[in-house]
Amino acid sequence: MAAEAVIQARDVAMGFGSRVLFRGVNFDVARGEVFVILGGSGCGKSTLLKLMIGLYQPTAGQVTILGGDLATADGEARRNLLRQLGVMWQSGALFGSMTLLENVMLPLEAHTDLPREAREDVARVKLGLVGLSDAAGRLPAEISGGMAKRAGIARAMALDPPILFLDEPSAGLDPVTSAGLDELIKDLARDLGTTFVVVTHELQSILAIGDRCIMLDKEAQGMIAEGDPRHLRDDPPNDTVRRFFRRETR
Amino acid sequence: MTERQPGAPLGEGAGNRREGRPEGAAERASVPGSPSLPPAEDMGPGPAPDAAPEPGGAVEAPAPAGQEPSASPGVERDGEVLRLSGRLTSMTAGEVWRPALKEAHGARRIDLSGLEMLDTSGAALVIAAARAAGEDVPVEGASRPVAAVLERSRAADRPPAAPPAGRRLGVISALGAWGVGRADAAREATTFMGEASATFVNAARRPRDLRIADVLRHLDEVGTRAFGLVILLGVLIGVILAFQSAIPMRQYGADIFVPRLVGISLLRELGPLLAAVILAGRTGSAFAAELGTMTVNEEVSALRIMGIDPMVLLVLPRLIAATLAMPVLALLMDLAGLVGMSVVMMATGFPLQLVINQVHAGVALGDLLGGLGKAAVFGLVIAGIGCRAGLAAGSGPRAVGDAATSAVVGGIVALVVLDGIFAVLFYRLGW
Repeated sequence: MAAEAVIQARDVAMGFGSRVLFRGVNFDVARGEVFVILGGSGCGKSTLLKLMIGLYQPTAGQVTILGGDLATADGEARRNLLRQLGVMWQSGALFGSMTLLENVMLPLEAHTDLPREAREDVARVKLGLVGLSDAAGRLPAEISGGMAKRAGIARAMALDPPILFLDEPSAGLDPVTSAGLDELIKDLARDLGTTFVVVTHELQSILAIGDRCIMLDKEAQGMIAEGDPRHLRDDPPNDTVRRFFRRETR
Repeated sequence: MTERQPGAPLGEGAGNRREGRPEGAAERASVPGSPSLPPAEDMGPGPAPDAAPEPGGAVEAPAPAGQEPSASPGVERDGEVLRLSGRLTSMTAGEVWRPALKEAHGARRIDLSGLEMLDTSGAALVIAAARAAGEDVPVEGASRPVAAVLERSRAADRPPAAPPAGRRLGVISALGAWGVGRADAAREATTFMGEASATFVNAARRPRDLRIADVLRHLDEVGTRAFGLVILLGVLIGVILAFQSAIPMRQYGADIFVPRLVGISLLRELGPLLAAVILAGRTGSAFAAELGTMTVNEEVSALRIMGIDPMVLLVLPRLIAATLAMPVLALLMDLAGLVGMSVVMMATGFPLQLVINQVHAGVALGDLLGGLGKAAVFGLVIAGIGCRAGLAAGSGPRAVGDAATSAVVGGIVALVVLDGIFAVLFYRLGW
């Protein structure tokens, strides 16, 4: 049976000034899947993610998350929607003056009525889920890039949102750390049933974690492929997709 | 991809029911790790062990037969059994956290058969309750999806580690650490002064190394862009000084001497000092922030690796600019203060010519030059402290703020100390 769509994009277009980034983007993200947005540098992957989480407003079309539109929702409706999603930023975006534990406790403090000791217990579990139990008391400046990414996931998971957005989770990581992060994403999707929307151009990650993907292209100014990444690799629908998956320059 | 089930609509929580399982027929199991209970994989019929739990951030278990699902979590102590029920998620766990831990004390068993929904935050509560009851207390009755989340969370849970013994410093150790820290800072400051002096000497020998364009840019930032602020404060200080001194001096008929008093105060002391305070707050902090950001971004390391001395490229132009600009700022402050004082004197009935004559009679050229000389030294020291704070910045976003604070505080303290030294020096020299 068809799975329920938790995110729907309909005829979405985006640009800055007179520059069109993409147009006519349509896709559904099903509950519980790992959905990958891929494409070359500058094609608008991260912008599309920011559209989905309501940081940008599309120049045309609409993106809905769990039936609501973050770009237009306000007040309690927006707050409710925001509670349903977590974001891991490309840079980690951890607050430098707080320990990892305090970083994870922050959303709990803002959105729940958990007492302090409970927030600490919950935050420790989240850090444990990403394998950072021993680093709870460390500051972001004292940890490696891979640990910062995992801490970013732990903070994004603080409220157990059903949807997690990850912006370039593997960027700048060594292959082993990157593979560990991919494992973590798969584990969390399987064990907790979380829906993941991942922006990346790391081929190995795409193939390792992606249930389904869409590909954006800078020249086409839009979506040029959609489907299982392994199928797209084995049976590319066009030359751009073939070059991307085979790492060919022409 | 794996086909999954439709979930609960927004507002009803993130979880949903597993299709194909009859109402109330969910397998109840104990939490893995409890000695008396089987692991989740051994639990009876139901969904395949490798099947995903319910999609969403929380998993939902079917309500026991004959019971209506409830929105709120429940805590109940029934003899030796602690029962947790309802929906236990990050949004609801706060309601029952403390009561649950209170009720958990002395419990011999924790029953989760009434639990309808659990996420990892709710699992943290179950774990905390089990810990409060005693580590060996069995946790029973969890449905398969609930048990899976609990298992995952329990595997992730580790009690906080005790702080390393070395970090528990006594008062004497803390004082010692503070002393060593101060000594290190003094050594670094001395090293910086030595490096800066050597850079000055080398630049004098090889002027081509000095980037004149950078010096001019900093002269503009330090000097001309501060003119407005200096003039404004100078006029106001002149007005205040004139008023404050005229009131008591008038009682003795000595208000004619106010221009002398204010003139000497401004030229020898207040002009350079106030201009230097403006420099410390405005420029010292800017130098520290700019160089601190470059240090945090590893631009300074990149310069060093390229064989370019940051002292020459970054520090020297700033030191020269501040040293040259400060006497000009002090002079401007002096003149603006005298203008302010003159306005007050004229407003109280003294003609301008009389005021000018009084200033001329009371102030010597040495007063002006001494003040401007002090100002140049103030500029050099404040810029040096700002640059050192920036180059010594640590890592992380706080480093830049700390560097700027250190530059302003250090600059103003150094200013007052230097002014005291100059006062004694000028007194000894009879100036």
